[in-house]
Amino acid sequence: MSKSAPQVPLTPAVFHILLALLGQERHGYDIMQQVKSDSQDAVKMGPGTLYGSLDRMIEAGLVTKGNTKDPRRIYYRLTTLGHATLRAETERLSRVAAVARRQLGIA
Amino acid sequence: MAQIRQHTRSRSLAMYGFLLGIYAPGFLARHRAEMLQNFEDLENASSSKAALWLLIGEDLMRSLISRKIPKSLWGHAAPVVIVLTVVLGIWRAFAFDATPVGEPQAVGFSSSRLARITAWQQAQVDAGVFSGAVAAIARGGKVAYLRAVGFRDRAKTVPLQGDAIFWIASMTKPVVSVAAMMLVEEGKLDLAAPVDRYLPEFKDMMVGVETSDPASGQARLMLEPQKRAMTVEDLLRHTSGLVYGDHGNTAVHKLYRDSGLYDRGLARDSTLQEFVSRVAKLPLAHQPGEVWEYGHSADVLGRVIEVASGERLDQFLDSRLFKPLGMVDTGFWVPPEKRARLIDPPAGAAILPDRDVTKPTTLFSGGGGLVSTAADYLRFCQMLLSGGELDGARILSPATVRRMTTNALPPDMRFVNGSTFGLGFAIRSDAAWSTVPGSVGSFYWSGVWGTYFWVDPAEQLVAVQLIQVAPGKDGPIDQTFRNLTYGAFLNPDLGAPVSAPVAIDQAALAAFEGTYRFASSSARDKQERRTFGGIGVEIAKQDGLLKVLFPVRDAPAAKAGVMANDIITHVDGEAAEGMTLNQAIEKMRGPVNTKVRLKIARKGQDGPIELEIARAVIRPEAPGSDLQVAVKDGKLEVEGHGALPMLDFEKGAPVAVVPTSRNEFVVDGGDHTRMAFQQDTTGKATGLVLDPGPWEITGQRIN
Repeated sequence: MSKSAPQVPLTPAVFHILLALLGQERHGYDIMQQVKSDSQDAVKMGPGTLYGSLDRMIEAGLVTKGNTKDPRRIYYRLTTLGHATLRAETERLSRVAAVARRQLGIA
Repeated sequence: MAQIRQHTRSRSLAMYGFLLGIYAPGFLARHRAEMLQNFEDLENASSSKAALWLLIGEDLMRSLISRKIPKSLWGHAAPVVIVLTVVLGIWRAFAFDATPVGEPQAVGFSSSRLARITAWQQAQVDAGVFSGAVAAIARGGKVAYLRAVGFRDRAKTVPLQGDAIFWIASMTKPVVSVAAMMLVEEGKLDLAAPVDRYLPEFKDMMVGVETSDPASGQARLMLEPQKRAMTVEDLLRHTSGLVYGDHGNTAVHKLYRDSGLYDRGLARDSTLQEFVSRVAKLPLAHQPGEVWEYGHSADVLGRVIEVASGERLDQFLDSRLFKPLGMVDTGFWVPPEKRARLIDPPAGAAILPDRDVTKPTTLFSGGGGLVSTAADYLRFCQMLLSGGELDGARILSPATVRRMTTNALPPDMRFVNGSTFGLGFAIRSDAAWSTVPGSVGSFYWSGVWGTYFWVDPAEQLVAVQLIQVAPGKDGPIDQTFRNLTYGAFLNPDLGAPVSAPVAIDQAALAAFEGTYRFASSSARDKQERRTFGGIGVEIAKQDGLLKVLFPVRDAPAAKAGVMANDIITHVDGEAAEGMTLNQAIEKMRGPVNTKVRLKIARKGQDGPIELEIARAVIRPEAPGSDLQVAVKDGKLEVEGHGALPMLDFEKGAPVAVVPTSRNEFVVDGGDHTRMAFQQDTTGKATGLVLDPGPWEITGQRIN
């Protein structure tokens, strides 16, 4: 919670986790499945990577633990900073993609 | 009950559990359970084992590279070890699983509250109280909990599995007591008969009486004849006059110690007959039938069983009890093929030569010789709960079990307050007085290294906790386990879903809005709190650092900007590093209006913070906690802060509650926390009764 301005760029894992949590609290396995689906099977995240990232994201104030409804699972949700960071990273990626598209001549 | 054996989960899962050892302990403490759950889900969803392990292998390797994995466990050899482990496929070691079985809710348990047992045991492992634990709990004949926590070895490298083997020590006594009662049912053994009918060496025993010599004042041992011979029943209820040498300091106890009964010539290849004949040469500590005292009674009973049955004790137990009950891992030693499942002895425990369970033995100690597993002992307990029968194997008649678990001591004989003793078991006897939770009629016993079991017939409950802790270091571990188990019971009236939702109008809901304060109910906390001159910070010494836990509200420190988690490095220019907590506290206190200088390091802030704070009168708040109640989107929400006990929701975040009557609510989706508002005659809410189970606490509305 040290700084309130979004810091980008993000690692792919962090970006995908933020995306997976957009608008919905999810538990670990659910995040993995959502990441797989969002990335059209391109990114497969294992539990070690996931929880390692989640720990650091909690530390950085990007996500927080949600209201546990399921006794065996911990749910995570985006913080305002997480939301802002996802937005900032998406905009940054769009700009980078635009530059790349222009140079590749993909309209 | 058959499910205890039949239930074996995927070996892949056990393997993954083992591989998780590469992660840091703190990381595992937070995520291990879920990672295993995720693995199981991944396994179910995965098209092939190869695909699964490819993903997991990559994940493990990536974690190893990206995180600085502590070298404490495997160091740099870890990747090699992982690959070798997978290639070699040591599946066999993982045949038994350690995850919960069955649906706890179906047998009246809250699974989230049962999970507290795991968390508490993990905390004990982290604190070094014991290296690992296996607990098993069943209700109504169905296993609600069976889980291993921690490690098999003291070096904490091999995770403990549910089928770990423990020395159960005195939990052997109930087993041998049951064996004796089988012979009683067959007419081969007579409870009222003198022991010397079976063991002639016990004829004409003498009783040692300590008197003091009037001339010298020194204690001396007089021997007097026994008033009556000890009976078989005396052996079962510990009224034989036989004692343990290390359980007292009378002249007889000393004689036991000096006799070489324990430390000389008692190898594991001596015999029970030899041991018992040595015991028979010692005087009794009490007249038979007059005093309950723990001792070698069950060892002698084991020899009585041999004589009455004509079989060696190990063979009798094996063929008549362990085989029929499916107690496949229970016996007087651990054979080599099971050695890898034997948990290490606790640090600092003296192991007598006759207690080395890795070696075969012919000295079958009925008082403490057995090794067993949680699943095996749970089956033994379930047999007792089911009136002497399990899965079709009839061991005892229900009447005999009832007799064994009914008080067998005369009314004037002292045992333990609130409890009494039957034939091989202690029994909770007093409906009006008890130090432990559980129904009257619950019976229990423990082993010297901390193993514990109890059976609560009224609740159809059996529970076993196996640990290995050096004697004297265990504290109230069995009590905590018992408390946590009863604390996981669901309130019967909450077991069923609320049938019809209760509608409450907005105005009525709004009347409950406010803050409710719950004072600590501890007598110590209620004492008048002394005021003093100070700056108002709660501090603690953590990792050698002086850390601010929190600044007291509205006190000078808080006003000066001191924050929780600040590290105080200097007090009045003196380094805090060298101070004890008390020295630091003394230094910060002082006369009102005098000043103290603090130098503070704060995370995320460059350079030290220096403050000069004037002392004021500090009146410490009694520990307590607040529950804030508000209406949001037409629903009542509560938010807890402070030391509120055992809620089924997280503190510090609003949680919706749903009405069950005009003034009663339960946590939405929760399984136990109930709250009832107290109202005065005008309908104004004045207090709140919170029932997180198993006790109610009442809070007063403060605004």
